[in-house]
Amino acid sequence: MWTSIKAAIQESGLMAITFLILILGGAARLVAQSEDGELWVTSQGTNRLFVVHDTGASIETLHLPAGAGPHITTFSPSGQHAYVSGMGNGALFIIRADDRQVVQTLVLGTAGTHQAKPSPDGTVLLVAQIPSMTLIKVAANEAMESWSVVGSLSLAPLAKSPVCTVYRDDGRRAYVSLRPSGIAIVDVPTMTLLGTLPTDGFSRAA
Amino acid sequence: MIKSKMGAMVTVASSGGGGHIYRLDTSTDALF
Repeated sequence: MWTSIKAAIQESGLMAITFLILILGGAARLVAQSEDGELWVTSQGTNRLFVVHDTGASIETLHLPAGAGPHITTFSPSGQHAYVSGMGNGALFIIRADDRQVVQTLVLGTAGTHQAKPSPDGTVLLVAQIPSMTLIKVAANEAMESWSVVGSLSLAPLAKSPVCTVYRDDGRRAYVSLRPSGIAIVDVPTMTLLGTLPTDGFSRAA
Repeated sequence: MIKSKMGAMVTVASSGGGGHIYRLDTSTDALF
């Protein structure tokens, strides 16, 4: 049975990342579409990823560590790597898209890593870490398959947590939805909070 | 939040309170 339904459509860099809802049994899943038409479906409750081919004609299963709680998948603009956030254990799993290998795992907290959003040029990820109320900046080097934390912005003074990020086209400014409400405007090079915009709030469901 | 692939507009859906849908102009940082 479905326990929740979430859907969004998001576009990033060279490819469209489309979140859909699929019924594969169990809880609702967040789905991202890769460049070649695969659908990557996270199963947060079972620590698995499903890669769906040809509208379900075949499905691969990727197993993540127990407790990972994979939540949102994004792809680098090149399509070479997938970024899978761990709501269960706070990790960010970086997966080579072609062979499905986890090439690096960043431990960014003990739980609640919600979304990793690559910049338009793919060199930066902004990762929303909900429990610590921190937006984490990760430098991405896809050619070397190396990712490292290079900065952060604490939103604790606002008593708000980052949820999801979009970038201005030049990648130098980011807009981060906040829980329970508002949007943070962030200067990406310096990870400085430039201001906030009021909204009437976002769902508390992660 | 959904950003168009080309252009400066971001659509923001807010599920709390009044459930508004906003448009964010990233060229001016203005929310409508």
